[in-house]
Order: sequence, then C-alpha cells, then structure tokens
Amino acid sequence: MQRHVRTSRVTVAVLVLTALLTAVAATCGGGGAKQGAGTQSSSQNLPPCPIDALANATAPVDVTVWHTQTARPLDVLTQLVNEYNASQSKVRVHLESQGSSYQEIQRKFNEALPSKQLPAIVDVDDTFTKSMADSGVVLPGASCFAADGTDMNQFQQTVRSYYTIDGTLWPSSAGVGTVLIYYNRDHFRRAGLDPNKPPATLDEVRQDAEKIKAAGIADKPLAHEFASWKTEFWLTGAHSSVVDNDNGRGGGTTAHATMVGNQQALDLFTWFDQMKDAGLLNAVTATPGQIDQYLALASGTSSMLIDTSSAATSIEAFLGGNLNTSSLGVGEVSPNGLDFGAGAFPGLTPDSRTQMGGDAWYIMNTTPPAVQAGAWDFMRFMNSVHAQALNLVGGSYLPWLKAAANDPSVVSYFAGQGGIAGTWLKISNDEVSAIDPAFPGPLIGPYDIFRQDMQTAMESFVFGNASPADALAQAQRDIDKALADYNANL
Amino acid sequence: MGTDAPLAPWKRSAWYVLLSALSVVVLFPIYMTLVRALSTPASYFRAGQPLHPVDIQWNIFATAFSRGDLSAKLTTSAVVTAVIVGAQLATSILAAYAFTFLEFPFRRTLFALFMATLMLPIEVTLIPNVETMRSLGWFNSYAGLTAPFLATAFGTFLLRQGFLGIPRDLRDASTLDGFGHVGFLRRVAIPVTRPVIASFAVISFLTAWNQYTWPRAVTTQSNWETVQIGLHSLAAATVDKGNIALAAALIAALPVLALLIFLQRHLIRGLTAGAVKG
Amino acid sequence: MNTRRVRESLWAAALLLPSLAVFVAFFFYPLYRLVVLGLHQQNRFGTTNRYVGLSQFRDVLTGDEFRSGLWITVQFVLLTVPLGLVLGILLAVAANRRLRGIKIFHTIFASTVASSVAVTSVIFLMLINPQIGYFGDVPFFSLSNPHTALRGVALSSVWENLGLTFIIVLAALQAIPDEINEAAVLDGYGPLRKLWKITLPLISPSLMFLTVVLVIFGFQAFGQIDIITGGGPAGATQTVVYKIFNSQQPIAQGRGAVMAVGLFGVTFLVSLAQLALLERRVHYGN
Repeated sequence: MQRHVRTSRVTVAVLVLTALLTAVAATCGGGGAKQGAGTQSSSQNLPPCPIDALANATAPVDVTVWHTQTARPLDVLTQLVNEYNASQSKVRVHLESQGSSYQEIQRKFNEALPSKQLPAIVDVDDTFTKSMADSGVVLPGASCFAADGTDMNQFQQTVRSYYTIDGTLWPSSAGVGTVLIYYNRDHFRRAGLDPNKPPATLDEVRQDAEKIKAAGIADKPLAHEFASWKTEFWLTGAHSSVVDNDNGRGGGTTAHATMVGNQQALDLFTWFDQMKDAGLLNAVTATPGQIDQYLALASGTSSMLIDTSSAATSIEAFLGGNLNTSSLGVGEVSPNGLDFGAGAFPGLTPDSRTQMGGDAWYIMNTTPPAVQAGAWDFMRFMNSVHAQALNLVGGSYLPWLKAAANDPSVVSYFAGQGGIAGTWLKISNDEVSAIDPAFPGPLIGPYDIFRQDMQTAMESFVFGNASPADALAQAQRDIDKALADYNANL
Repeated sequence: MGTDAPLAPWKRSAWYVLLSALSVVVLFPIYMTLVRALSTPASYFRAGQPLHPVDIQWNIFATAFSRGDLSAKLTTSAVVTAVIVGAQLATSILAAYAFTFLEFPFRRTLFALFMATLMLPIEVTLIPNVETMRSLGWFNSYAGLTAPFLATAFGTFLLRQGFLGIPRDLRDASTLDGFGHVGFLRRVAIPVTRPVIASFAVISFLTAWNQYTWPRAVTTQSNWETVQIGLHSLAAATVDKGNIALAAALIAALPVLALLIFLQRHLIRGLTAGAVKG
Repeated sequence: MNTRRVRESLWAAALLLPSLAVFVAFFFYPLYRLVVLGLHQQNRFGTTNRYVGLSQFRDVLTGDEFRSGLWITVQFVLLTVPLGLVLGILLAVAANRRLRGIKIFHTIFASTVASSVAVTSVIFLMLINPQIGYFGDVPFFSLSNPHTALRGVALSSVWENLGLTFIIVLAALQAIPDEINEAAVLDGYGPLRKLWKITLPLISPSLMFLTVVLVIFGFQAFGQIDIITGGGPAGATQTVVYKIFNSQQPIAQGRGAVMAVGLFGVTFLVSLAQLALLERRVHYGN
C-alpha cells in the first residue's frame, strides 16, 4: 500500500496547489469518530469487544502502534512485530515512534485527542491509567479479555489491581519494571564492605557511602537522577500515600496531595538534602535521553546507583561480558575493575517494598471495529509466553503473564546463564511479586502535572536553595490546583 | 577588494597560515562528523576518541540510508521543497508585478499588509496553524507540509525591487508593440530580472529544505517526515549507535552544499539583497 | 479611462489573490485566533472551553513560565549575536584580500550556510554531549549543568551562522571602493585603525541588517534545543518557542497562545528598537 501512495504524491501536490489557488478548501474529517466507553465503567457495563469483525474483514487490517521504545527494547519490539506479521495475513502492524520519552508521547496523544486522529494502539507509561479511562477513547482490555473468556488469574495480581479502576482493567497488555540498586563491588571490596551485601535501606546507603568516601575511592559515591517517579517508589514502598482518597483508589474524589504533614516524604527529601550537604551525592537532572548517572557508575566516579530495572541490560553491557567474581575476597580487586552487582530497592524502612511501574498498551476505540479486532489480536500475541519471555530477555521488561516466568528461557536467564543482568532482573521480578496488591501505587488523573510538580520541588532543593519542607509545601500547592482543575473538568 | 600593493612573500605566507588555521576551526565540526560517522563506535571509544577514524566502516552511508529510510525522506523533502519554491516564485512574481506596474486603490496599504506578515513567523502562529491542519485532516500530507509557505512577502519584496529596476523605455516599447501585461511579464520583466529571480529561488530552496519547526509539528508518521525531522528521529532512535545519525546528517547536508558550490553567485546575491548597498 | 482603472484593479486583484489567500489563512487569521485562544481555557480532553478573559493574558505574561522562557531566549540571543558578528567580521576581513586561491577560503568560510538547524544540532550533539562528546567534559558549556547548558546550544548556533555572517560581511567589504582603502593607507591609517574608523562604519548598513536577522533567528530558536537538550537540564534551555511548541495540548493551548502573542510583541518591539537605535549610527557613505 505504501508504494501506491508514493507514486501519487506529486499528483496530490499539484491538485492541492490548484485547490488553494481557486480558494476551495476540501475539508476531510479525521479518523472514524466512534464514541467509545463512557467514564463510568463497571464489569457489567463493559463496552463490547468487536473480535468477530476481523473474521469478516476482506483486506488486511492496518494496526498502527504509537510508542517511544529505543535501543534494545525497540529491537525486540520490532522483531516481535515482524514475527506477528509473518505469522498471519489478516493484520499488518506498523510501529510509529513518537519520540524517545513518555512525556512526548503523552503530549502527542493529548494533542490528537480532540480530533480523535489516533492510532490503533498506544504504548505509554504506567501513569496514564486514570486519564485514559476518563478520556473516552479507550477500549478496555477487560472487554476483550471477557470476550475471549480469558482466565485473568494467569496475570500478576499486582499488575491487574494497579491498572484496574472500578473493576475495569484498562490496558490490554503491560510490561513491568521496578527499581534496583546497582553498585560497584570493587569499590565495596576496597572500602572493606562485603561485596555481596548491597545496602538494604537508605540508612545503610548512607553508611556505605561514607565508608567509600572516607577510603578515598569515590568522591560522591551515590549517583542519582532526580526523576519524580523514584520518589513515588520510596513513598509507596513505605506505604505512604502521595494523594488523598486512599492514594487515588478510594472510589471517591481525589482532591489533595498529601505532601505537607507527610513524615515519610519529609524524611526522604531531608535524607537527600543531607547526602548533598555531606558531599556524598552526585546529583543528575532528569532530562529525557540523558544517561549521566549510568556513566558516573561505569566510569567509577560513583559507586552506587538507584535506578530502573530496565537499565540492567545496559549496565551489563558496560561489563562487556559475563564475569564470575564470586571467588574474590574482601579487599581484592577484579582484573579489569568492572564488577557490578545489583540489589533490591533500598527503601526508607527495612520492610519497604516497591511500586508498580513499566509500560501499558491501550487499544483505541476510535478506529473501525475490524481495526480494533486486529489490535486485540496483536495484543493476544504480546501476552503470549513467547512474547513476554522475549520482552524480558531482550528488552528487560518483566512479564505480567505468570507462565512466562516458568518458561525455560526465562528460568535460565534468571539463573544468569544469559548474562549477569538476568540475576538482577530476577531480584526485580521478586520485588514485583512482593508488592502489596492492595497498595500498588497512586492513581492520579493529572499524573503528568503531578510528576512535573514533584520534579520541580525536588530540583528546588537539590539544585537550588529551597528547604525540603518548603519544596513539599510548594508541591502540595501546585498538585492541589492541578487536581482541583481536573475534577472540575477544566 | 583588498589593497593593491603587492605583498611581501612572508606576509603572503602569514596570511595563508592564518586563513588555513581559521579554516581548520570552521571545518572542525564537519571533519569530526566524518571521523565519527566512519568509525565503529565501540572501537572509537576504546581508542580514546582520537582525531582520526578507527575501524572504518565504509558502508555506513548505505546503512544510514536504509536504517533512516533516507530515500523516502529525501523524496519527501524534495517534493515539499519543489512545491514551495515553485509556488513562492509564482505568487511572488505575480504580486510583485501588481505592486510595481499596476495602479489600484489601497496599493500602499496592501503592500504594508504584505510586509507585516514578515513579523509573523511560523513559530508565533504555530498553535492556530497546527489546529487548522488538524481540522482539515492535513497532518502527514504534502498539503500540510507546504500550505503556509506557498507565498512569502520576502519574495514579493525582492522581486518588486527587481521589477522597479526595469527601465521605463522597455515598458513603453512593450505597450507600443501591443503586448498586454502577460506579454510584458513573459517577454521582458521575467527575462530581465532573471538574476534576482534565480537568487530568490536559491534562498527559497535553502529555507524550504532546511525547515524544522513546521514539519516537526505536522507529522506523526515516520514515512511523512522530511529529511531534517528524520535526522531528529534517527538521532533519538540510534542513540547507542551515534555513527548512523552522523552519516545521515552528512547526507542531508549534501544538496545544499552542492547548491553552495555550484550556485554560489546566486546564493550570495540572494542573501545579500537588502543587506549591501550598491 | 475609468474602465482602464477598473481593469487594472481587477488584474491586481487576480495577481494578489494567491499571496493574499495564503497570508490571510496562515498569518492574519492565526493572529486573531491566538487572541481568541488566549482568552479561553480548555480541559485536558478538549471537551470543554471556558472563557477566562484578559486575566489569562496578565497571568501568563507576568508569570514564571513566560518570563523564564523569555529570559532564556534573551540570554540565547546575547550569547549568539555579538560573538557571531565578531567572528564573521574576523573571517571576512581575513579573507578579503587578493591571494591566489582565496576563493577556496571563501567557500570554506561560507560552508556552514549549507548546514541546517537539524544537521548542525546532530553534529554538535556529538561534539559536546557529556557522554560521548569530544568536548563533552568541558565545564564551560557542559550540557549536564543547568547553568551552562545554554552556552553549549549557543555554540552550535554561532557556528551555524558563521557562513551567513561571513557572506554578508564579505560582500559589504567588497563593495567598498578601492580608492577609499588606498586613501586610508596613504593617510597613514594602520590596519586596526582603518578597520575601526573606516571599514566598519562603511559596512554598518550590512551589520545592522545582519544584527536584526541574527536577533530574529535567536528569538525563533527551537530546533537546536529540541535536538540537543530537549529543553533540559531542569528546563534550563526552554526558550519561548520551545514552550509554545510544547503547549499544543488542549489544556495548554490558552497559555501557549498568550506566550505566542507575547513573543510576537517582544520581537516586534525589539526589531523596532534595533532599527531606530542602529539607524542613527549608520553611515551612508562620505
């Protein structure tokens, strides 16, 4: 179809010129304006999933996917799409990159929303749930799972409860990521610390950092990129809400942030402020695409990094191979100085957990039924053991399909037979399983503004002169306003 | 030009040295681009980022072509540029003719209105214009990529300057010969001002080919990206393989570089119009 | 006689209509639309459109978002224009002499005019990127530091504008009659004094033109920020146009429109001020 379009482009251009010169503007509508699900959904009121429409389609159905994957995860996704397209002839999936950051795809989605010029599937980050549910353009995953008669217990409980509002599961597929602490085991050895025992709480992070700095090994042992989603992990992990209405999931109206008077939030911000003052913190600003914090770790400038589990394969790449350093004792150094390990997310308290994170796939209801059916068929493929396993091994996305964790390729990967990153992702997978399903993470309508406000607040005391308390107060004010506007449908 | 006195040999050499040094500074970014494009990234870093290529991959340009879908994007850029240049020439010549040779009410006001548009770049009018494109369904289309640029007051201004320079006698002779406006335009006005027209065409080409903000705003499908936007996407997508994007950048710059080398006179005249007296 | 006027007016209408149609549709109508958008506020999904009046103009134009964007834009202009002018003059003066093969140097110095914003940005991203850049660890224009990142972006624009500046200044220098240069030498002017007291004043119309053009380019800066820094770090390189471009969502359109009107106003005033200020100091020959 693309070839056909190409040859008529010049003709189109000439026609357009003529049309303009004679002041006739052709007005065409955007994509089909199908009114979709309302904002209230319960499992009884699910919109129907048009899975039969595909059987009646006479020509191959084009399914466009908007995404922001790059590097290895993009390679894996491309491979999966090619496999899917080659395996059947009714659906043609096209990937359309919308940039390299979740902010950009959210922006593009919001811009396209009023005119409904949307693709078949959108792959966005985990914060978009409530906004997607209220937008009216999403075909809930629940509808199609129900139409297929799927047993939902084959998917991770925590992931399901994170993405469920009023009993409706909105995404049709999900990839999961959490947070790990990556650390330089050589630095630990040289500082007299046990290289097999990464810090398990923030207090321990501080103690280890002090020892490393005192031993003159690294000037600023903790590298940290100040992206607000990490703050949420600490707070959720300590069972601390960031907004009222039971962290947004209480069923009522979410009207206020819970920053002021939130002791854990204050403790967290104060901890970072004190690390900065003690000269132990290598602070990096969060700009989409920048990787300074990984470089600080790889170059030995810093010793520890708390960051996303999907960085596992990148950090492994710095090692350039599979190293077995378990035989080295305290005080000894590995041959090329590059010996990294990873540990579970060090929380505010010893029993802290993590939060749900990752990406979610939404089917749009603004396309013709056959396209929606085709989109669902592709989502079935992405939920298969094969696709989920490949996304893990190649793309570092943890599977939400439980069976994928038992797939032989995944089992051996988790055991480290494909590289040390596999063992790190096993830690991450265990973290996901340990998340309290009743407290998986916040549900916020204007989540994007919430994160911007949190980010500004952190930057004000890390890169500026504000105090942690003032930063929290400012965040409270800004988030309250955003929530008020959202609730008033402004 | 410079002074007439013949230079002492050492002075000549000194100037050559200085000019060469300045050339090295000016060309350094391009040179490093070539070095990095040709080198294999991992080898280049292991070698400590030297000033010469390492582990050369001669097929990098072919790789960039296919990985960045450059033939499609170059085509898109070419069509968009051709449409814009053609349209701007047509609309500017016609408008300039009217302002120069015709008498009509509100001529001065209309000319002022034309010139006023120069104060409204696409960056200012972006939001409403994108909105218009959306409602017309002109995203991801040639219409959307070219519509706001089919006419330009800069062209009207330049060509009016050129037409004003046509001697009165030629105009009178044309009328005596029985030619109306069309005839005069075709037989006298355009041929006589060919240098100005050529210069404007070159500037128009340069601006249209190099455009970034507008194409960035009206394309969401990669097969509708111009080569400039393609560079942005490619740089973002291949952030771990920097040589591909750099090779693509060199390819994207080639058409205008060719323009510079072969049509330098016209380019310079176009750029200096209005800047240099005499 | 009357029919002739009518006929000419009809001709004029036909000849002007194409341009006028484009201008009305894509220049004047949008200006009106910006004002309308600026008076309203939509919700996140674009399903409601509330009239908020001029208070939005006041809030946005005096608010942090526009003011910081404007300040960053002004800094960018201050970083790129003076340096760009000086370097362009330097190159043009150096290359304005009769030497064998001087044309090659002319082409080299003019070559950056072939580099678009996208090409230049990709090149400089590679040159000064903190991770992989050849000059990535130079603190003065480090892209990782909010206080210096704008300098890095400015550097790319200074290089990009070199060709244009060189071409225009060289053409102006070449337009100076030989007699003036010879007279200056005969009168005992040294090269620097000649440059300062004779050459620069003589080419001041071109320098004025160039200043206006470079300032306008600076105010319109977008592509280089989009590619090199993405507006970061910590929003330190978000120029006004960058903010406008990222305000196209329904919920942000009202504010974005006000910023666009603000940008229009500022560019207009700055251009007027430049023309007035520099007009006085321009020397139109002896």
